[in-house]
Amino acid sequence: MALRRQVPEPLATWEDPVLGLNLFDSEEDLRPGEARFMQNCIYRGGVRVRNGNSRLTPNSIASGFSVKSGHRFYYGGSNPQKSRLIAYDNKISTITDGGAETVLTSGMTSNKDTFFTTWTITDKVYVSNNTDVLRSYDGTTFATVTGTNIPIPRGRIAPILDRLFAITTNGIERTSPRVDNVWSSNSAWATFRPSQVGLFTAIHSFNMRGTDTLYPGALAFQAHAYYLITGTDFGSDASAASASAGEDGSIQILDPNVGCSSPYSVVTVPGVGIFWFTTDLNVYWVPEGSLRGQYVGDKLRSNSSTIGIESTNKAQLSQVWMTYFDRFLVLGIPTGSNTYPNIQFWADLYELTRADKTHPSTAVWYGPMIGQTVGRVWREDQQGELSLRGGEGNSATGVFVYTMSELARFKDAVGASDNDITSIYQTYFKDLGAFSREKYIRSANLELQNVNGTPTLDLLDLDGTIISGVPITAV
Amino acid sequence: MAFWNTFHWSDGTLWSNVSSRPDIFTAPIDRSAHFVSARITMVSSSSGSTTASLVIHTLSLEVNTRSQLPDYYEAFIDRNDNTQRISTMVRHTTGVEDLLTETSELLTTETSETLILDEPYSFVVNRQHLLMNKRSRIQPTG
Repeated sequence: MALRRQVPEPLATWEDPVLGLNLFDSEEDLRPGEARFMQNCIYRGGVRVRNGNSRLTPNSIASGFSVKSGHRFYYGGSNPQKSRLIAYDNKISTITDGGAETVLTSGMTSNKDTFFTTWTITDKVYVSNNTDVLRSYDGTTFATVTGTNIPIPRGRIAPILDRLFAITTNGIERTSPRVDNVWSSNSAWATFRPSQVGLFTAIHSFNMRGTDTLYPGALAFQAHAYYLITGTDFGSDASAASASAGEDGSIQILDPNVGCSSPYSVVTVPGVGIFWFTTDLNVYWVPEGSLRGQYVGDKLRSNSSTIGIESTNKAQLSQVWMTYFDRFLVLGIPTGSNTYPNIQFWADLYELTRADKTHPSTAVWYGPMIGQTVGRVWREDQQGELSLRGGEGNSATGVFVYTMSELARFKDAVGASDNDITSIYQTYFKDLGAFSREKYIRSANLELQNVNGTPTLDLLDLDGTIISGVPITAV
Repeated sequence: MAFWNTFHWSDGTLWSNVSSRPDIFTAPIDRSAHFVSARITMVSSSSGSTTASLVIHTLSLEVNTRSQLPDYYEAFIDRNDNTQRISTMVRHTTGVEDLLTETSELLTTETSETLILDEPYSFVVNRQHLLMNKRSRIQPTG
């Protein structure tokens, strides 16, 4: 039935959520292209559910513990080999693609945040947990590293040029070139120290790009500051009393007010830059080729009843993780009293980097993604593999390894359960071209694909829900 | 707005059970509002080869500004003496439409209000009823 003075279709149609989620602005101020809520939704040529995950380990490996780290160890040089490592309880184990476990050691201090780093120079993976002396594994032998000044690294160790760097209570220590068994220790020249109060929290290898220049080095973090470590010659003997001729390593503070307390969150995104979760509960981005960073998580800081990153459990910042996979920057945070990440937000890197974009240069986020309780994630992307794996973060669920963001998978594995995924997409608020007048809405019309279930629709005004749970049916 | 006639996953495999073109769906509303946001809820699951996962391409409303009414609406006219009931279809171009346009400027709430007019009849207009159900109950009052 035709209607008099019907609001024309361009005014009565919502723009696709190409600007993603905005929890920050008031509902009245949301712009076309933004969404109020995208629970378990992404935008890819349409709003659709995110990928689910599945179990790699068919049964719990251990109850009462969570996965404290995971890593795919690629090694073997001309004879490529691979091994999947996880840490839980006091164990470092390998897990096959079929989920079978082989315990490499039960000699770690139990239940510590653990970090794996593969170093190709020695073709070994190194294990650090802030409590035990550095361990190594070469694919055959798991061992404690022995030698001079072997550190107890705080967090992940980082390869820079021809050596390793590790955070200790002294600062940042280094090895001699191409060896893992000679380290500096509280050295007058070889130990990098922060200029601000507090211990270093994380170190992340990265070559900063200047105009026609590369600066080999790393970013080092304190809770409230971050630094640039650079150099082309880090000395010949790290344990020597004085530096060798030509040694030019340096550390410089880049910002004394933004730092990181979440070492699992520091991630490099190809062609985009480095991201991390800040101690003041935001996401920070240092674009590639730049030393000037910026916050990109403001839209996730909620001013409404929806929980955003402002609700991150500040007592568990160390459990926040971020990773890069399938053109998404994925952030996992623990909220409320949770000790493991229970909510994820996904930044769409296609929207951030597309050359023809008309949007502002800021992150486009989707979420919240709920239903998973993954505490650690790691990429497996060599020797013909391309997967994102995850480790269960809830010790009450047990030790499970998952395949994350699995294509054509519409359920979430949580422990031994497979849970449906409930997606909720809520648009921005339209005034329908007559902001001062009340409108009479007869119906909502949609173009949908792949409707096998029963979607429902709610309609909301600024002051509340107008109608809820209306079945959406084919015309 | 956007849609594809085929959907592929990021590894190039086809999302085989997506319909070749979007289908048109509707949801009845019959409510009034100032600023409008739509929220769609869907439970996705997969079990074996059966998959349920919604893809939303377009979302629009069929909506009028409040003072506007359908071209046709059903009107019930009761004679003053209640001895005769006339049920008819009234075009919006008739005097009743003009009446309602005028009254809409005066009505400020969704509740029923009474307005007495002179010619050719005086009516009691239940505007709420009219708007919500596209049906008016009009009573001559003298």
